[in-house]
Amino acid sequence: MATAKELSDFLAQVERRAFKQTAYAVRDDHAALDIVQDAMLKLAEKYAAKPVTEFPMLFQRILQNTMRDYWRRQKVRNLWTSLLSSFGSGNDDDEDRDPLETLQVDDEANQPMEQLERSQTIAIIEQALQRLPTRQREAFVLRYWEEMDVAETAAIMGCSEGSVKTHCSRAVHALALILGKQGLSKQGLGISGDER
Amino acid sequence: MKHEQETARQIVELLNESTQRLDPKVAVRLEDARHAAVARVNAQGAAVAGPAGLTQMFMGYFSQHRIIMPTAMMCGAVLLAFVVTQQFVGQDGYEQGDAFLLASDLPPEAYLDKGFDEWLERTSQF
Repeated sequence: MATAKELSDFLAQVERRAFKQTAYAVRDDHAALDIVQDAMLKLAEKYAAKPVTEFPMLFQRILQNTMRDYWRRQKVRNLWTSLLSSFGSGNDDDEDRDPLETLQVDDEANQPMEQLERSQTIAIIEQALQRLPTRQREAFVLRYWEEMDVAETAAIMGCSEGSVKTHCSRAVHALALILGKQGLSKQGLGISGDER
Repeated sequence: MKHEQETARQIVELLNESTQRLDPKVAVRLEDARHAAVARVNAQGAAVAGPAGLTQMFMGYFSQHRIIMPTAMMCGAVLLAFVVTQQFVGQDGYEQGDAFLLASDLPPEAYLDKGFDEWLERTSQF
């Protein structure tokens, strides 16, 4: 059974990543904060008695479910909005857009400061992540960012391990393509290249 | 495959860096949320340790297994319906039995006498 301190340490360790991950998914910082807060409270309320080793997977499951709840509510809200206003704004085709065509880059590439370049690179990666299909983004984040194995990722996503591998592969290729299109090759990512 | 993982690793490294550059307001809200979650665990712990701890534990159990209550209520309703149905069905049978006894030529005591059937068979042979 985990102590309050272990729970606190765990949450401190994952909260920023969880926020970023959620923000990529819902594209709204305020909603992302609410979702992460809900997930933290649910973990504390219902699973505090579990061993600390189970927290990462439980928290990710809760976070994914809370995100799904948010989308469901949004869907219902959007349905009522579209029913009430007969003249749609035409934003429904957002999912159909080609991310490569719509990706925006700040025009500050000529700034000499390395810090700024890294910020730009991060911004491009974040935009690219936001524009990935939901399942690919989920798989990439869980598998590579949260460092879960294929089986754990599959359990959280509710799909087969093969699907996880496919989603991950497609996500990495899509990201590499987007980054390459923005002139960010492997070297352009600005990583020192130290092997783990 | 190796190239794929290397690309992913580099992207993740930058993403990790991005978490250190969060808006201070966001970081503060996340910290507040964490404290609220931990405080809730501490409050739950205090409640369990108190005199109402057992009740709290069972309530917590039922709130977590919400399917139990509706299932129990459904079973209770089925049982109640069964008992009520049996009452009405049995009543009809008793009424028929009473009517038969009253309409019969023999007195009701005759049916309570265990040797009556044998005596009736014997005497009817003559």
